[in-house]
Amino acid sequence: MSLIIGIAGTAKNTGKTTTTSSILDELYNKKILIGLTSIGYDGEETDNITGLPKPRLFVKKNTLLATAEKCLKAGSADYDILETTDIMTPLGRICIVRVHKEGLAVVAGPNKGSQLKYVENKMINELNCKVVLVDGALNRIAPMIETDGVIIATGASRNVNIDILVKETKALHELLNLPEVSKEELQYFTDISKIALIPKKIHEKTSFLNYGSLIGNDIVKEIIDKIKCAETVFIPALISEFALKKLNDGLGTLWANKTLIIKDPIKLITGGNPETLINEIKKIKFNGGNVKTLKNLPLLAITVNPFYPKYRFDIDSYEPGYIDREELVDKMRASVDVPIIDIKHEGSLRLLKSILNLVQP
Amino acid sequence: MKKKKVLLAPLDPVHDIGLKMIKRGLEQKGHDTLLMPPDYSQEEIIKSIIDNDADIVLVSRTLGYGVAEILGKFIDLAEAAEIRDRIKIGIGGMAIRPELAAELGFDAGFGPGTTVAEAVAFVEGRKYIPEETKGKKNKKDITEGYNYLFHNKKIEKLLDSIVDGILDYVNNKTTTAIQRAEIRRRILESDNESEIQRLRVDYSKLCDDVIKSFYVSGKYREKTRPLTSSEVSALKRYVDEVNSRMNPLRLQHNDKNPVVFIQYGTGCPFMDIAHIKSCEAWGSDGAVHFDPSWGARTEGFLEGYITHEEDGSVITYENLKSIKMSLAPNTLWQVRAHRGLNTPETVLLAGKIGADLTKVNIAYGSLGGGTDPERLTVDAVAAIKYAAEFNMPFDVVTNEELCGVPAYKAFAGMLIVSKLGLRLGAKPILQPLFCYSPEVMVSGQMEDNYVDFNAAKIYCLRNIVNAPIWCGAPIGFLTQTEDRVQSSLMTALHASLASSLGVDGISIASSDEAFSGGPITVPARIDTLRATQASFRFFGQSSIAPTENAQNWANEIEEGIEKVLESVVKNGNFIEALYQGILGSREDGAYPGRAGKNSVIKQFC
Repeated sequence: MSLIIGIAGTAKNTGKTTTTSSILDELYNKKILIGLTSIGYDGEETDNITGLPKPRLFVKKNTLLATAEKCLKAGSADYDILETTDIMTPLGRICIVRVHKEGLAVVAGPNKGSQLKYVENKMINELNCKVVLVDGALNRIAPMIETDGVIIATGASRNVNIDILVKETKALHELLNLPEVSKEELQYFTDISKIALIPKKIHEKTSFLNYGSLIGNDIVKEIIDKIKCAETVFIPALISEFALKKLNDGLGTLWANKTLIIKDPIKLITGGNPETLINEIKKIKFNGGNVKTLKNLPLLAITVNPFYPKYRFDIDSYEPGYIDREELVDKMRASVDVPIIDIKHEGSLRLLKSILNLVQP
Repeated sequence: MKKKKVLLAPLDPVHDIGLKMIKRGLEQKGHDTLLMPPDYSQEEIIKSIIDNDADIVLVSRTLGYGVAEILGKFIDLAEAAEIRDRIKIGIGGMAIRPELAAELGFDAGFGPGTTVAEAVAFVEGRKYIPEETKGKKNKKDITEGYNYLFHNKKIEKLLDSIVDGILDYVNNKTTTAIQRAEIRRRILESDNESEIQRLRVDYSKLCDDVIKSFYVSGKYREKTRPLTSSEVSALKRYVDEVNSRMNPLRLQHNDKNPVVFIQYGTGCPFMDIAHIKSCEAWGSDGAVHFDPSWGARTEGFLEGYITHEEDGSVITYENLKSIKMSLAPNTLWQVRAHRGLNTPETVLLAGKIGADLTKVNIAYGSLGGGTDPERLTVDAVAAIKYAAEFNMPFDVVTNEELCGVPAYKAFAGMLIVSKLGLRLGAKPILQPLFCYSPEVMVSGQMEDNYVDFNAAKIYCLRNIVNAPIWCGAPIGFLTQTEDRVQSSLMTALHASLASSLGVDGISIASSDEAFSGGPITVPARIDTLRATQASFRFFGQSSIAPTENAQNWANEIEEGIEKVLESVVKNGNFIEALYQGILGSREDGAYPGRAGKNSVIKQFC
């Protein structure tokens, strides 16, 4: 069995690359063949925004990488190019390569979900990788839907207020764990690309809107106008926090006995603040409605990082800052029921064990 | 080419100038564009993409902490809205680089310096190939188009008479400098090692003791040492590495702007090259080699890659060669030989190595440069013959103005040497000072402005002869202060005045040159190059209008020149005229030099 793991950061400097690097080390110890890619560019020596140094990924012999042409010359690792794909990026075409001399690598993989899927299939089905790691890019979570599960790196860099950070992470966990639809429903909805208002009797008088996304007042109004006959509202694409709020305001108790079905939690998470979105979902439920998803994105673990780049006005520059590590870990563990790990402090062994259980039960 | 629908979205409260320019470029190419107003939400932009069925989205945004997250989120929104696979999204802004665009998930990133053509190529799915001719810099021959026709026939006649006298005087005379140059030529042209060793012995016998001891016992002058082999190979690596990523700027805004020279002479060839490469990158068109002052007063040259801890870089074949090898193909390179006891050999080496220009002025070299007038006259004739042989135009700089010699006297000397050059088949370039000279400080011609008297000099020279003019050296000298902004502005204004007057070349200083108190810095060089570029851009082809004083003073200078030349003719001998102060007197601040006095050798046929 193979596993595709996404590693996403909630902000810069939350320890995403440290998490990836640490998991890589543990996988190397277990002699598991790894495929490594990223959503876009990462592994740069200095943070593009703050100028603080960032770790780069150390890759060992035989590791498979998907990275842009220009990055092959950077770093100290050497590669055999297995395939130069047609996937274009600002740093050149994506190449699938095998490391023949270990060293530091600069990974800039495909940045669209569909392209990521291509690379993952190649690595697993043709190149026999047991684990594919997808290193996330800044605030990019959408392509992660093409993974089997994500590890989320969060911490002080996202918010120095621990309570706010924990609340947000809890909401994020809830959004990623919405109840899934039945197999029949999944089959029915999979190919629908527009917002659909489905009446009680399935297949009858389904009303389709011109949009797949819920992102404007006119779309909200159209749903409200047509909701009476519908039992299910299916939204296959983006749902913005603002529009969902408007829809709830407009529908209120009309949600009773109706179900909102979304394609996947990413469609919600990209559209707004997790806490606000969860509140809106709770409103639907409070009004007697229900919310389901065609597919979930399992949250495998959360890594926390007390570090943040502290801005100093007097020198117009950043310096390292830290919040209380123990308080952060304890409060996070009390609220979110997934492994919570401070990689820098604890290492990634526990994290890896929980992941390996999925690959080698 | 299929017409594209392009949505231009300023993801920014206000900035959309770049997008407006790109919009115009796209429309000219026949594409449909929709420029969204600033300050729309990301969701509104996504909805607009859907509503307008756009093929391409170009987003602009200035960057600050937290903004990168917003940009990454925009791409996520496009992906979640299931439109990412069918549209291309580019990002532009002052802090955008391809790496950042890749990190944020965009298909392309357009940073500072992006052209509209580049954005259009992205929209049309073409690889952007910059217009080669646009960025390409060619080496300019600043003597091209000049026929050296004298408009002032009276002056020409006087000059011919003086030049006859000079050539007559130097006939059957030689110096150790001329002999050394001849030996050096044979060394360079020989591939017989034993002959070379013999010639080196002969050469050393014609040198001062400090140079002789190098050839005899390998001893270097104090504060002077050879570069190590690792330094020489590091220099080559440095040059290769820098050349591989050079994309030089252009200073000129139009063809009428003069070429811009910088001057170097840090003492270390490695440092010189670093300065030259930095200046090339920031747009300089030429570089002038400054040799050490002790070198001008010492008979003979050393050999090898040599560095030393004083101003001016030691002239050797190897040093000059390493500098030449480092230059961009378009860079004009001048090796100065206008003063000192090694003038013929300097021009020979410059010619052999492929310098584009040299510098010879007997009047300055012997009145302000410290060399005996007779010696320098004999040497200069030999040097100018080399300049003619190697087709190297030479400038005749009037630096004696800095000693206090009035322009009309200095110009008389400059015209004599220029006419001598023409007679010997060379191409002289007139190089009047373009600065706040002691003459005007005393006489007050620049009390109101720096424009009129500088313009007067150019008017005067243009009235006399159709010859190239290169203002020096450097322009704006003595108008600059320790304030780098002030110094840069002064340089830029003098550059634009020179351009407005239609001159062919200018030499500029760094903004810290006058007050550095030590080595000058690269950032200060960039200051004046950038200021000059901005100034050329500002004035374009418009003119700076001098007052009527300029023409009046031009006439006065021309009359003064005639009188000086008449005095020289009347005196019967150019060299005597130099000794007697006709071309610049002790009262003016000019003193005939003593280096090489009584060293001219009479040859008997």
